[in-house]
Amino acid sequence: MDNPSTPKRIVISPVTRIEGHAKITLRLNDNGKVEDALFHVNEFRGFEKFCEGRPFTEMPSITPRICGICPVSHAISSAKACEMILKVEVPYTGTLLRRLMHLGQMISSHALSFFHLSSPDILLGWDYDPAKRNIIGIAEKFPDLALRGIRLRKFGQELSERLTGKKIHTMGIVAGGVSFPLTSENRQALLDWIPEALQTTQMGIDLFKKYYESHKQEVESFANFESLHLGTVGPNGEHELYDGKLRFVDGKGQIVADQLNPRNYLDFIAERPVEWSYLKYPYYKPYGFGKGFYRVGPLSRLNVATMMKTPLAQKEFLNFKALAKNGAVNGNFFYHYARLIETIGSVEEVKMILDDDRVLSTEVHSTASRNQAEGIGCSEAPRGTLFHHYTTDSNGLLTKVNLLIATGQMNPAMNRSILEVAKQYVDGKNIKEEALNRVEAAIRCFDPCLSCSTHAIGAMPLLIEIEDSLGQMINSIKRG
Amino acid sequence: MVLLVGYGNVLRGDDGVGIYVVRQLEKLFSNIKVLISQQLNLEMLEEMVRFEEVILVDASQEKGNVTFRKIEVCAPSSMIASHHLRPELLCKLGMSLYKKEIAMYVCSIPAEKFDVGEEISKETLTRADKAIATISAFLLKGEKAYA
Repeated sequence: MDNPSTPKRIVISPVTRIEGHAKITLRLNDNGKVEDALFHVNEFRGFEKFCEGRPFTEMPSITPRICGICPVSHAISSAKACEMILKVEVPYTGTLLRRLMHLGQMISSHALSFFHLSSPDILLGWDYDPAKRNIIGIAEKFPDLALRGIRLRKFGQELSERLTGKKIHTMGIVAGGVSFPLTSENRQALLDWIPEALQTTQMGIDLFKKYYESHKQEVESFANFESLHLGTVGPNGEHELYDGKLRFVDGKGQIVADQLNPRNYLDFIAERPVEWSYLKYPYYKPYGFGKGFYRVGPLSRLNVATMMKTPLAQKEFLNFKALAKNGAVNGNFFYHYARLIETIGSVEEVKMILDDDRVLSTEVHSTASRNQAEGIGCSEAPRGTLFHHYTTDSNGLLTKVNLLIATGQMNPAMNRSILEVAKQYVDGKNIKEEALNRVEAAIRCFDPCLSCSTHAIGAMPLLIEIEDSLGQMINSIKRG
Repeated sequence: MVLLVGYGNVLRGDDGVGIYVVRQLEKLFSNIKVLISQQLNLEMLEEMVRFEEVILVDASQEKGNVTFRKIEVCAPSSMIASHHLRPELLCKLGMSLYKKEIAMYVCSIPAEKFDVGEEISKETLTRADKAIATISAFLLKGEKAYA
């Protein structure tokens, strides 16, 4: 710290109020300003390896266990990969029921992210007591909102539970369809939730808008940088989570590539490992490693979409698009708004599906045998686009598994975001806890699922350390 | 009426002992309700506040005997995620959200083998029997029965 010619480092570990565990290193220059930032993910799991040799039909049961927050997305992408190997088509009702579970997961995950993990910063303030800047503080100061957030998440989980009997690690999505039809009783029970779910989500949207109005400059400048955006869209460019084609747009909202078949993902997405993290760096191949980094997830999905499918979501979508100064909404804080728009759209779409009488049909599953070696499945997880890619031998045993996870695709953007926010708020000569909280918040915008993205085992606490260029610790902040 | 919550991962050997215990108690008592889950979560609170008493049953990595204790509300923690919800935190949130002090107890069963598989080890099953006896005594007499 006394050597004027050597940079210093600040390390944040654990990063709090995210799923999974990570560490942030901030490198300071001689003037105590942030020069560089690294986002480390220290978990390792190995699903891609230990699934080799298993029958491919087991994968829709195995892969949901990668994550307790987005198991449905894994099950769906996995089942689709299996269906490509089987060359089988899922019955219409089977698809409807999968969509219901998928939307339920979106609602549940997004509710958790906003109401539990991120709202404390917005409602309580960046410098609130860290011990209470969480669901406890929200429960004390805003009990009604906290309760509503919990119940919204419960509704999302109930969609899985009423369809498959389980809230998490869903077992009902199988190759060829789903295991169980929907009963009229369960259908009505789910419909009864809709008014409350819509109201709660609208409360969240109003809360965000109120914060934005009173903190415009801060929100707009928070981790605001151009990048490519990736998401799936329907045939007319509409927002589509379950079964769309891929669209890339650039930081100015211009379409770079459109209606790409996810099965050809290797033609346009590559990955490169980095030395400081188990999380690899994916990039858009035509643009190369440096320029080709892209974002996924709610912000990107709304940037690539031309419209939403439901009225309330469409209304908010137009407000969202109006925020785009240069053609795309690039400020990371707007991930929260995009997440809420997707939530309200998901609740509306759940109602649309439940109102369709075909949802009660018992034709929910098709069967076939292995008809080709390779299968690729894709769907949108809450955090972004998810790919499962399997190769099998003639007995249907897996010889190769590749999982391209949503959070992993945001790795470069997360690094960039930390750097942008740290440059704006962190002063190495006067390190404030609220400044470091903002750096963490840069990560929380993405709502990363780190256990998922590294297919990782176990929990490893995340720590913020400040080191000098010789590796000596100057300061450290440890939470939990 | 008492709510018994058995939680743990039934695919990780002894980690499923909490669920095993509550299922056995469900056969013995008619004045209880049983809730099974992989882990504690906030959504359970809505159910918990409807009961006079709540007993949580879980495997523990601590050595020693089966323990049965009443939960005291904890100090806040900054480690809040959806994966690690402590009973003390659940109690605290119950007070904040529902304005109700939940009489919550935890029965911890020391366990040893957490390998992949559904079988509970013999040693842990022996302790499970002890836990069943302890909780049964509590339910029958309405007293705290400590191991």
